[in-house]
Amino acid sequence: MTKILIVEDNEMNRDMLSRRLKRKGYEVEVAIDGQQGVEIAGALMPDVVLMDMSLPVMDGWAATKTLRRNEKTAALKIIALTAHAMDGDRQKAMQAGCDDYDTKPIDLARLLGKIEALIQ
Amino acid sequence: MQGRLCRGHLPGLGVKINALPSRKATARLDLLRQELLAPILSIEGHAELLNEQLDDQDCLADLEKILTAVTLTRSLVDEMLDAETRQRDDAERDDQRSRYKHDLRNSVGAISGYTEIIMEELEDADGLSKDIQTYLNHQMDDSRKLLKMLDTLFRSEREFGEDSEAGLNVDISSVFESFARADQEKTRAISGRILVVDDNDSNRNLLAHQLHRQGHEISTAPSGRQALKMIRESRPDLILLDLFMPDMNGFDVLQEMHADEALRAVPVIIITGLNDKDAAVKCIEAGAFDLLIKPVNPSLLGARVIACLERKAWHDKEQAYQRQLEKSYTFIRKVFGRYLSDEVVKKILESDDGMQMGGGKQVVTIMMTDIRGFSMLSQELDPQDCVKILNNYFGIMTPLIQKYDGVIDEFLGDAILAIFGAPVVSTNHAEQAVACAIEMQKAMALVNRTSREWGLPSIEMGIALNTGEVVVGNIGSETRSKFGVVGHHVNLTARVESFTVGGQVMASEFTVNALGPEVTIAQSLEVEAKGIKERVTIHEITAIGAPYNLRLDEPEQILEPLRQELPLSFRRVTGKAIADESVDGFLTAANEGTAQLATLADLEVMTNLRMNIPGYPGAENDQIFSKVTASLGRQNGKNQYIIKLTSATLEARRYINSLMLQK
Repeated sequence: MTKILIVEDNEMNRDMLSRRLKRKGYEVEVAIDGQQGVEIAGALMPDVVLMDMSLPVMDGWAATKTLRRNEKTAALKIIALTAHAMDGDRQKAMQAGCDDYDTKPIDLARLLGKIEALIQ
Repeated sequence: MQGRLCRGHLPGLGVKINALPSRKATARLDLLRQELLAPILSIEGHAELLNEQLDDQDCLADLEKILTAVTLTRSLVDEMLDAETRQRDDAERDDQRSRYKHDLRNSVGAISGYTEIIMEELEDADGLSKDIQTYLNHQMDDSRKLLKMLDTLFRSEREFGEDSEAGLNVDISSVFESFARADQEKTRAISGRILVVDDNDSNRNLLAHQLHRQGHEISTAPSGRQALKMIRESRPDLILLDLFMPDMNGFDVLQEMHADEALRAVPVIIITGLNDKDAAVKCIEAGAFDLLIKPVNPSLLGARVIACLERKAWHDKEQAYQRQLEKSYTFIRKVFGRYLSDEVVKKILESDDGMQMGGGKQVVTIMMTDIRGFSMLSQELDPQDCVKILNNYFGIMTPLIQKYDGVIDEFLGDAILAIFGAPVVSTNHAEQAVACAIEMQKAMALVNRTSREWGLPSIEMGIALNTGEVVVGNIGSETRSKFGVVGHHVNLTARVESFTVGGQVMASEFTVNALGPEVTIAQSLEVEAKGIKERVTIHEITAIGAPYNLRLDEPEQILEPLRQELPLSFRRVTGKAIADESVDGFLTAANEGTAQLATLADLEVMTNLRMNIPGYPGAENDQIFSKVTASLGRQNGKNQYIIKLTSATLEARRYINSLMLQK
């Protein structure tokens, strides 16, 4: 089963996304801030990390960079989730090392497409 | 940063602070708030509907989350729009906006996300009814709509209020232009007498002063009871009423006013600090015109007061108009009620064109009745007895005329002038008149029975009918006028009348031609009426067919032969002129006012004769008139005629009768 780590500080978003992904048959773990996200990613080694960009303690960009610097987690697939739909944000996410990016609110079908694309 | 009114550069800081929003900008923000609120409220509403419909605990839990998200969205929108009104520089603005954008996308995302979850769960469990599906779809649509609006907004480079492109579908400018126009046109200055009721002195005084300044006449009352007393005494134009008062609260005052018919129309505006919408509903149901929450903005109060006074003014005008209308109706009823039956009056009042009042030409049927020889009778009888007979006669004839939709235009002594077909237009006036005439003749039996009971003589009536175009209208002058008819045909009717004898209904050819039903014509004559060029044919009608089916009973025309022939002489009468030539003849038979005359002279039917009966015990110059009604041909070498006494003294009648009785 595909393992997904959701790093999201907003409880509702976290709950929504994990439930919906679980129903679609994915194994889901969650982290509530950037720091925790890095730790759990290292331990779990998920197939895909869904990283919200605006996080407390350590934001999404910093967390991504940290994962990339670490040899173990450097190859993890990371999809940035952001509320900011502007081009600048997309670039910023890609520069930080994300493999793809999706905007909130989440269109499940669209996200699933991106997830599956990364897993292949 | 809040509330400082400096514009442009803040000295010493080198930073440009954006100006406070203009009136238009504030309006735009208000409208933006409304626009954004619309889908939010819709989501809220549908969530509540879903709450009623869903059973599944998980779904209900998710619904709770949706409601939480909606509430959050709403307060975020409020905060964001409020932030727009505060002074900040561009950097601050972008920073704040960024935060709101992030938070709003999250909260709206939660709404759509959980809605989808509910949808998926119900689909799996097969619990997706049509209604639930609809509500859920609406949730999705509304959240998408909201998101789109927010996106458009956040693309703006300036303050939302200043940016006319920022997501509004409304043209703000046009409304403000209309306001400006209205301000220029404002002319009304309505003022009224206002009673302010509040137990709190300060409140009362403030309102009183504010309204007084706006030009109204103010009186005050510190209690409900006092207020009612003052309302009953002086009937103000408007009451401003507080709700919470010690002895009698505002609501009770309202109810008492509403229950009292005299006070119900006085408008009441409730002014209260109580912000309870159920209370507001109750007050309005109890009859309050409006309800305002303290503290009330004085201009707003002023505007509401004027609106209320205006409405009352219109109400009063309408009442006055109604009263006027009643008066006119009563007047019409009184004036025409004497001539017209209630039904006809009702018809006139109700119809738009059923009444031709002022000087119009109309085709009508005119009826003239005459009591044969009444002038002579009136000289011989006591005046009281005369009037007795007449009133009895009129009393019986009037309802008959009204029954056939006729209008009595005039009583001319013993004659009646009646019109059929005006003022209420009708198409069957001719036959109505004929039927009426026949019934009137039949009613003479009743008239005479009463006269006999009084010991007074019988009378005979002749009725003439004519149909034609006349001028109908209000004839007379300002101070005295009546509904009348004028025209050639009126005169013609009078001429026809001169040819009738008692018991006859004579109708002109014009009337007969205008008839629908069949009539029985006993005889027809071509006559030359004085003053009228052509010869006119007149017909004696004795019966009318369906739908009336009336027939004049033939009077006993059996003439009793006189024991002895009565010699007499007579002279022909033409108009007022009595011929010089005296002709001889004999009465051979008689019966009540009819006799058979034998004479060598040739007489024409309808000729009037002045009779001279030798042996008549009365005075020499007593005038006895008769009319030749029929020719019987020649008999015993003499011309035989039926004559009818048209005018004879009682004496003469008795004498002739006595001759009859002698056998």
